[in-house]
Amino acid sequence: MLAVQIVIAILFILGIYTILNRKNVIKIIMGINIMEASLILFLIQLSYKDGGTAPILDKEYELIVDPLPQALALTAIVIGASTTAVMLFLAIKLYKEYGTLDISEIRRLRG
Amino acid sequence: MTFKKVYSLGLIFLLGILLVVTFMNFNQNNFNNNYDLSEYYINQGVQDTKSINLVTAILFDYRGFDTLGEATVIFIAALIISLLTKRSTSSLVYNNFSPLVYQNISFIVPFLYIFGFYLIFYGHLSPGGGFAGGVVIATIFVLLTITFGVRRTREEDVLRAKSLLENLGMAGFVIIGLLGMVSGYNFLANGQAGFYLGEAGKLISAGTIPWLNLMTGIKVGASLSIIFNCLVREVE
Amino acid sequence: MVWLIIYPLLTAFILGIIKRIIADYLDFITLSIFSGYLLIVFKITSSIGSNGIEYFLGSWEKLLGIRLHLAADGVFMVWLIALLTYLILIYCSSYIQENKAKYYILIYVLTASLMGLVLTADFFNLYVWFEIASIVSYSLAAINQNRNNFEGVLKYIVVGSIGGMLVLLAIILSYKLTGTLDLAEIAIRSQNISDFQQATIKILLLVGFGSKIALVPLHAWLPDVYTNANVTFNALSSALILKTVLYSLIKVLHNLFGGAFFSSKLQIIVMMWGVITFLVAHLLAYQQQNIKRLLAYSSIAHLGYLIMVFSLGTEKGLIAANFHLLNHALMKSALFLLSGILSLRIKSYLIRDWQGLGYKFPYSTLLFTGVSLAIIGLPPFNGFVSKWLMVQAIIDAGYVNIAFTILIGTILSLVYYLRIIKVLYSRRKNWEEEFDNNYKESKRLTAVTTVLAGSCLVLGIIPGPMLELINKTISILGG
Repeated sequence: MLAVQIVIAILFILGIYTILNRKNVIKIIMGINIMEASLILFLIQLSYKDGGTAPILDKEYELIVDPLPQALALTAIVIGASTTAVMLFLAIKLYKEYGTLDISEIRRLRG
Repeated sequence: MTFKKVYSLGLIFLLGILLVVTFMNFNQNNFNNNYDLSEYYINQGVQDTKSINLVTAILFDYRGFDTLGEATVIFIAALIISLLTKRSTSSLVYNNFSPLVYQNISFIVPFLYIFGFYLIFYGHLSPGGGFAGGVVIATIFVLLTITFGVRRTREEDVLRAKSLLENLGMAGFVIIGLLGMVSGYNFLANGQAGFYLGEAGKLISAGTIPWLNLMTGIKVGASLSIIFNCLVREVE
Repeated sequence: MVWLIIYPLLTAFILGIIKRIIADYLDFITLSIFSGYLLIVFKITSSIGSNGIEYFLGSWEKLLGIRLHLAADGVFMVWLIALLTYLILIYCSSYIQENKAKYYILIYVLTASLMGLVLTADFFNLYVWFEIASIVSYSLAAINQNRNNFEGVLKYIVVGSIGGMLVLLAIILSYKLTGTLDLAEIAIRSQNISDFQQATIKILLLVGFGSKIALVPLHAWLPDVYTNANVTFNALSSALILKTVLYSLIKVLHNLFGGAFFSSKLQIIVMMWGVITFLVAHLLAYQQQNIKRLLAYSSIAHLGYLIMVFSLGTEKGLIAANFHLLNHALMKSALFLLSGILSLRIKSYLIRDWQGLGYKFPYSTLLFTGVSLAIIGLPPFNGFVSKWLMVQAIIDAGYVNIAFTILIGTILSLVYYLRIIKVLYSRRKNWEEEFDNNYKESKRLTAVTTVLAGSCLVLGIIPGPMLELINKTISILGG
């Protein structure tokens, strides 16, 4: 359990590092998505039980994983995907205006 | 510059260690008997909703209101993206692929439709559901756009139709929810309001869940293809 | 009760279907639908008992499904949201020129999401409404097509998504601890969790929501967005979105950890955070040349006041904070909407271009002056009353030094608001060529701003009944 949580922590800080230190807008968006992926992984880790099967009860089962975090994960994915779509759209708009995706360049051009 | 980099790396490293310590701390008092809610869903969920797929049961019945909310998020994303896209009148986009690509795509499209609607209609029986099915349907439009290009003259009408479908899907979701109120129960009531639950494992069962799945599927498919179309138009 | 949320949502979707058919009567239809919404709000809030109303979605019993709970203190927020949105909608019907139907749809969805934030008693559902409110505000902010705008909005989305993820992390951790998502049930089950875990959840929530309400180190997006966005978005955001997000933060903390939700150490940190927020924001506002940017920094400063007084957790503090929340919502929306009217003819938001507007728009400028005096906190306006109450509450809690910083903040804001007033009433020679003299002030715009500014004066002269009302709701909450 701890191993997965360390992976989650690494992904989370990797996302924050990318957002803070990268200049490219697309890379910043990727950083946000990496953070989001870490949280979704956390939700899945929360529902995981050793030897559990997927929460679809169409055949014999012994142990079922917790279905609630999976439903929450689906909601979180959809919300994240929509926000990403809007961000990518704005990135395209900025690229068309300034001809670059570098945020330091964009700030300089603004003057 | 390098100092700033080392500084931020150190800060982030500290944050990571803090995060791991927090997780370890939260692992300590694991009240194992405390997950009675998920125990209930596992033991009683199928009787309550007649939906074999418990994730679908939670998404569309126990916590259907969250699903309405997340569908609204996609709705807003599609709305703002289509609003900000310029009404361009550039010529037909045309890609030159080998005939093999055209033939294969034409061949595969009906199967993709079947697959998408299978995912939607069997959402309460197998993995899948409205969101996954809607995404598969949206990929059909993505494939068609990439291979055959966009006919500009018809694009406005197509977008208008898609936006109509999207709104209909959302309004349909709310109206199905309201049906529960008509029969004297609360919003989004399913089994309690006397909808035909049927027998678990059959296609026509689980009351409103398949219908909500259908509405979400239509909505997600339309929204995502609107978003894709607008992004493509903006890139040119 | 669920009608409070689904009525505007359903309206938004149906408007999306029929917007082409009713294009000619769009204003009339949207406004009359919203009037119906006010009737629903009246019907629901008049039937509320002392324990509030509970509503179980999908008729599931407690804990299984999502629970909505309209507490007595929520009634105040519900009315504030409904009435202010109505006024701003009337203003929009005259002010917005293009993409009107989609603007209305966004405002309706925004209303639904703010109501959801106020009503919901489920932790994850709160996150969903929080994200809807966020994505609608990104959309409303981006609707003005200019290139500086997109940059500000992108910043907004990046900060907002990180904040949203921290809130989600807090939700996941509290689910991990308690195995439930219902706020009341989490509170019961989390009584025996350690201080470290409580503090973790509190800090995650504070930073997550704090990025959305622009507390100082996380405030950078707000002035950029406000400068380039439409004034109606500024009014909606400053008066409603930020306030409702703050309200829901306080609601969650109050529900989870009881009345004294901050331990004394954390309380001092949050209070200092508030002090730093308003001092920095006032100092930055002092340097601004753009009126919208100045008002944006002023909004940040007032959110600093609010979080500081809310963090006291005492009954007096809650009353003062609620009253200031109402007052600031009225004053800031009035100021933004008035600056929208004043700049209609001059087409500029730079303070130096506003020279002499007092002689061209005597009425609107008079209102602007009055509301500026109110927001500084001078009698006889409402700002004075609420600042007085806040200072009293802080002194009662034993923080005399912090009460003194409010005075410093007031003096700072006096300086920069008086600068605008002075510019407005100073003579200017060569204005004839720049003005569009044919422009007439629209009746609807004037009416809306008159109502807002008038309520500022009325609440300043007779604050008694409103304070009584707030007092009643708060004491129910405590008991």
